Amino acid sequence: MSFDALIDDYGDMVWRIALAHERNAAVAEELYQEICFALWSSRDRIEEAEHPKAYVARIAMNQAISHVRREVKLPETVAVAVDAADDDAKSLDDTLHRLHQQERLLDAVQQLPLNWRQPVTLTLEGFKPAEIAYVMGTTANSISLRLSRARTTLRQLLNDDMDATKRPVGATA
Amino acid sequence: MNDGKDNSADNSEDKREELTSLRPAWQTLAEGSGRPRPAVNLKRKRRQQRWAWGAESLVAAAGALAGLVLIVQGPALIGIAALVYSLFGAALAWKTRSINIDLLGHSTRDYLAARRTVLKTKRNHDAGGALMCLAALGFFWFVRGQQAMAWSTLDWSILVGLLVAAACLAIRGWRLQRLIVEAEQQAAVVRHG
Repeated sequence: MSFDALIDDYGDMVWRIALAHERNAAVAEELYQEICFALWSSRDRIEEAEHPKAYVARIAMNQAISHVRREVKLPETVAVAVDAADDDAKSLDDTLHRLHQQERLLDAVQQLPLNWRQPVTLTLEGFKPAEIAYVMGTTANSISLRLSRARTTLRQLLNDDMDATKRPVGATA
Repeated sequence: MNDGKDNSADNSEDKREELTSLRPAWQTLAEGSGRPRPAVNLKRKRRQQRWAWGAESLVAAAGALAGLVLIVQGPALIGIAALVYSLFGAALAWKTRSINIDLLGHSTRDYLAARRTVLKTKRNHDAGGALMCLAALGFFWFVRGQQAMAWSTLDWSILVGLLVAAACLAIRGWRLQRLIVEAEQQAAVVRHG
């Protein structure tokens, strides 16, 4: 498998893992580049791995948690690039609603502690508890327990955020 | 008893399905909507890597050269120590570079444990180097004081060089110590679900 094929297959997953670990968009992009470099360095091992997707997830997760935070003197910005074709197909309201949902979900995942964020991110990526246990080096039961706790917190965070957006402008908490 | 187990399995499945229902929103994060995936720029990372490795090699080479000069012209004992220390540092940097790549494929728990060990080795090397520099400084100061001769340019260079090297190693060791503490905290978080 060439490096380009690797990025075609798993690039989106790696990018989402980077986003889950870094709030600042510029730092998340830097982290994504670091993960890609780590994947490039380990491309032979990935090719030989029994479960390449899980192996890639391991590399991405490990690189993400060891990523040294650097102070980036840029304001927190969200790049909103809406496809023109997408606009034609759906109404502006739908697109905005979708973007808002994604931002809320990403924000909630970023707020989870590391030991919950990892299994939640991987579950959202389609991994099963046994596969997440392989990535994290723990048992499937432990992962299920963490997911159970994280789910409650995640729901709470999503609901809190929804309440905040419903609150009239100028209202205080 | 069995019913309890079945219910717990069902609950676990339900909980997972609740998270699975969020997947469409999550999966479209990178698909041309809110957070487009950036293009991979390997050239920049490879250049940075080469610069980092080049800087490490340069420091090791400078240390080894200073060691050789001291063996020939100055206090040979300090020179031998500087030479051995620099060569060991270069070997350590090369070894940890390959270890780091290898470690990334391990589970998070194993990775954090091994990373902590690697960081501790580097920190100990830096701390040992800083102490060696200070010991050499004291030794050199004492020997030159006994000789009761005027200080030459080489003497001052050795003195300033040892001081700068000790300060640099101490700062790097302190930064590594902070990373070790961070890695230990992360390992504790990951261990205790």
